[in-house]
Amino acid sequence: MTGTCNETVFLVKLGELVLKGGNREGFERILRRNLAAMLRARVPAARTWLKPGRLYIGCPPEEADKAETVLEKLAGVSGWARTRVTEKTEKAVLDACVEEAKTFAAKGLQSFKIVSRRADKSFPLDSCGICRAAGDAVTRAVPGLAVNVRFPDGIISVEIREKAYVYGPGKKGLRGLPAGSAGRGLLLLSGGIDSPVAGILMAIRGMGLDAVYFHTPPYTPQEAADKTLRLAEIAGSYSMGMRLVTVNFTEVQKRIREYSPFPWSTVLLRMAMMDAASALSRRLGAKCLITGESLSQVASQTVENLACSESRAALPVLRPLVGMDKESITEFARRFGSYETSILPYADCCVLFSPPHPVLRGDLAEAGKLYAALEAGKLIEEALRAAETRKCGYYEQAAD
Amino acid sequence: MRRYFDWAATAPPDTALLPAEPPFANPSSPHSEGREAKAFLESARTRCAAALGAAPEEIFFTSGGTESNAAVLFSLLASGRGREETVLLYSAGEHPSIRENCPVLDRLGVPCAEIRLDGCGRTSEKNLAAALKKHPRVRMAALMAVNNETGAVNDTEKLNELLKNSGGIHFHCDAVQAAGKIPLDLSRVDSASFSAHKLGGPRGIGLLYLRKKLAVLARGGGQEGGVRPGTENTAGAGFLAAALERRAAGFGAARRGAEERMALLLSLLGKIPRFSPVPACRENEDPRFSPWILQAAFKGIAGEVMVRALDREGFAVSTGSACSSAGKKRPVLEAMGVDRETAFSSVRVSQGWTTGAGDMEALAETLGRLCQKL
Repeated sequence: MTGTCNETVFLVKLGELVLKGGNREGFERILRRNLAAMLRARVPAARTWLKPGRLYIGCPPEEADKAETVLEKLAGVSGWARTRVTEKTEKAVLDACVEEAKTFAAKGLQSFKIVSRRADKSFPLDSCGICRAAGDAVTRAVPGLAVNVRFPDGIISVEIREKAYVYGPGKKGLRGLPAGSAGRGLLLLSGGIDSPVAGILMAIRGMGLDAVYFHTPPYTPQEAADKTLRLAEIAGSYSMGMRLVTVNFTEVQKRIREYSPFPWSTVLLRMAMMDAASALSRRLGAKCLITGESLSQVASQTVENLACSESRAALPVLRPLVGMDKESITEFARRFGSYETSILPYADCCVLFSPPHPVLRGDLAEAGKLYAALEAGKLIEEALRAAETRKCGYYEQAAD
Repeated sequence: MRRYFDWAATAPPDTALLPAEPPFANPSSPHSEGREAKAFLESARTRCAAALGAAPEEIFFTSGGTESNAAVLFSLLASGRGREETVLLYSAGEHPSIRENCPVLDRLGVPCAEIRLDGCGRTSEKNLAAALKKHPRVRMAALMAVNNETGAVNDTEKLNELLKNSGGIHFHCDAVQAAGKIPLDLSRVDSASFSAHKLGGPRGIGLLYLRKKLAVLARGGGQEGGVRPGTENTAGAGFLAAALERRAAGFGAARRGAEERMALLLSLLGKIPRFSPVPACRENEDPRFSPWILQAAFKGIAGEVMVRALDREGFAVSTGSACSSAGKKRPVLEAMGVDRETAFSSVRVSQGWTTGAGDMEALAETLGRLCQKL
């Protein structure tokens, strides 16, 4: 299968998965499955075809921008470019290079270079020959655009394969591995900035996601739960969908408030959440827990307090943000499109349960004793039994 | 069954008062339809004036309380700029439509100064006198009739006396929570704001009572004597007139009913250990407070938590001014000297003419139950 003249063709470069050995095919299969599901929902008229190291998408020109929004959320690709597809003749290739160069000039670029790859050795010019001929054709046809092989303003790429492909600078992809190729994790999701980013980063690393949200009505507003649902939709759009389990934790929080020293309440709450999330993971088939914790960002995230909360986790706890500061996390949130939702002013933790002077370096043994004294197991079980599950961020096929 | 206790934010509209077929034409148009609309509008003005005890030429239709307040405040820009002395005094308890505009005026060259509230949330003569002494060149004072959060009633007669004895200072009164609810004598003020949707009318229409015309900033087609240019809301004006008439006609009985129900509620709430009225000086059947509004604190329970818990139980209450409920601060309560914890745990209960004693009993019972649970 190749591109046709009346469609826009994207040349998609595969990411890290091309380095895989024997199981590369499995990764490619998941990537194509993900892409197909996304395109079915967003650009039903698009078609895809895979060639060694390259994936192609062809779609009607008027759908090209939409196709690009799909690629922006596709984990496992390192980049893409809109490509001119031509016959494998010298004239057609050079004409395409000139056309591409004209777009460079229109953008005010002053220099260029040609990079070529001749996979089909039957093409009369070799790679160097293509570069020389195309460079010559461009400089003749586009005045003001000069060759600069060391520091060009832009690069025109030529690939001679089953067809000839000519393209300019493309866009960078998310990289990583196809979502769903690296097992399933349960994200502890809140309405803040960090946890959606943590989930999306893991999805880009290939993980399938489900999420759990703990809310405490009437101490926290319904708007906070609605906001988290929107964040789950956003994170789910990177992970090919997720199940969001909303757990009413009011009784657990009240038990902690009533039976524990107030400074300990945040640490104990996080221990209870780890307990609940571990139990939930077994039901959902998740192999790890994912949190948005960042070392020492807040009192509950000192290494001592992380050890306390992790002591109640029955699975590995992955913390992709642990070494990042808030600025870096915020940059990711903006890039992933979750930031604007995260900063909506609905707190998902009531100040009544937040001690003014929390324990900063909780002693693990003492935390264990205080937690055991809560006897919260039954309350957690009841909360999980009454939990509600919603599907978020799935790419459903568009209705006609 | 839902029970509504947020009348101070908006009263349920009394749709029976909606004019049957209000004329559609532009009242400024020179044809028969236009003249019919003009006549309808002027009739509405006359009816509003009669219901308020004012003259028709003193009534100017606006879009509501906020616009009425802004029109008066921003009139100072036309004449007060460039002076170094304070031009406008306003109480710390004013509605955001006054309070939030004062820093803007300040920046635009109209110096403003805040008057402290007394411990009961009122503007006392003592505090006003002290402010007038400190700011001798004041030209206007904005002092509300009834505080929208606490129900504290200002003594407009005495405040007016003080202002008039201090060189005829313009007294602007935000009367939005007073109209149809407590006795209101417009001869004691120079201008006053009203809003239809607090009276059983629709949103988007209100009026400004203006005894003497002020310089206005906004210019346009000269409607409403130039005070509020823009094509008039004829149907709204008719609806507002009907609402004001309805409130005036049933005023005595409605007020007595509100007093009795508030007394009942306060006596029932008095049995809940975590309850305290805000401000604490409020007593049962206290004439210093409007019987239509109660600010109530429940120790240790955040106001917004109580609002949500009541909502789940079928009761609509709010935490304060609906116009600023998105913000977490309670500036009016803080200005009265209410401590942060009490301010944080306060809710506003406001009743209306269809509220019944049974509603009050149900509310008190539910509040008592929630106080044990939360």
